[in-house]
Amino acid sequence: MKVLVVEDDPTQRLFLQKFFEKYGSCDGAETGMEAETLFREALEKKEPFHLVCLDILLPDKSGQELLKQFRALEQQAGIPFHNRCRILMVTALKDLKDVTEAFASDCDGYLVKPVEPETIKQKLVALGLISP
Amino acid sequence: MLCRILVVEDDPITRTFIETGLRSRGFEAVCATCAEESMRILQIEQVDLVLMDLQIEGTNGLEAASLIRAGYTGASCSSIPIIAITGSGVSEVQALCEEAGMNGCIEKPFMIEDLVQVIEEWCDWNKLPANFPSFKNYSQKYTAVNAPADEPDPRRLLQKFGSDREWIHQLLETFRLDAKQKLSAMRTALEEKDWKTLERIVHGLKGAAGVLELDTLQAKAGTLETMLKRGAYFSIKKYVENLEKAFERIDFSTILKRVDAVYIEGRK
Repeated sequence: MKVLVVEDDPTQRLFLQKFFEKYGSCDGAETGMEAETLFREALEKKEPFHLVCLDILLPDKSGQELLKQFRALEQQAGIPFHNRCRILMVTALKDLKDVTEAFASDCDGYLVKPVEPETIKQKLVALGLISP
Repeated sequence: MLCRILVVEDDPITRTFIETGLRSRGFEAVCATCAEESMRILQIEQVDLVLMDLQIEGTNGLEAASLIRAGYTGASCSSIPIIAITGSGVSEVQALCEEAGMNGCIEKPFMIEDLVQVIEEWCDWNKLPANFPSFKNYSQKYTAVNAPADEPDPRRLLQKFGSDREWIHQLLETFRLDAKQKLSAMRTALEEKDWKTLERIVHGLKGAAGVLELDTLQAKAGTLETMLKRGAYFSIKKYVENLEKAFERIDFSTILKRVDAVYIEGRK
């Protein structure tokens, strides 16, 4: 499994990256710009990510904005709906407004921080990315 | 859910004064007349802060606080804020309170407003009644005591990170270095009154502390973030200082040693 973790805080990024390394390769991005470049390059190389973990509060742009961009990039690349990457929001924002906005922009899951490794694991199972 | 205060006081007049005073301002209050009763309540009820008279009959307030800190009433309330109520001067009891792991003491006679300010300092602002926080100056009757330093339970960390000791080491080291940078960046933002940046940094710090179960730091960062969100810049400096102190008191090498010890013990 190929994973991209978008998180500006180094401790939280390391936490998620180390977690996902158990299941495959994992790239980390500190800013929205960096994340966008990595996502675009992966699509161009025809080696897209299977999963993206998105924080919402990033220094340069919001995770909500990135989510919309990622979905648009996939559409441009002609990726069919069922082959799109899974996007999991991992954020401290828990207002209904943020959650509905993310699902309206086609995220696949929403986890509110602090997250336990066990919770992420269950989510991955629910998304069909790993076996139970 | 509203902020729930446990009042431990054997004198009926003081107890009623505090209870009705807090209730009339919208707080929830539960009362206990002795230490034993207070510990029974803590075992079964959700409480946000304990006001503990030091001179109560039977087990005294200091002993009770030590027992709570030692986990006698359950791990979930071992880090609950405990504020001493004292009839003697604060200077006389401060060291004892610190030793017992209490977070502050308040000197009699006091007004309910003094208590409210203490509660505001220690409780989750989302649980305060309407019209609060009041943003008043700090009470003259209240003295903060060095709160116990954050020390996550090594068993909990090992369980959380699947017994991956290396992962915990890396996370703690990353956090230690990054939090230092974040705190100095917070100072700069504070001096420049750059509230947006300050809020963003403190938000990151809160999340990172949460990953490592550093509860006090996480709670203090959370309070500061809420204050900034609500535009309460009145005593931000003090809260930033509190956060710095809470960080300085964390003994990272001891945490690592404890994690290693439990890890090795578990492999035997």
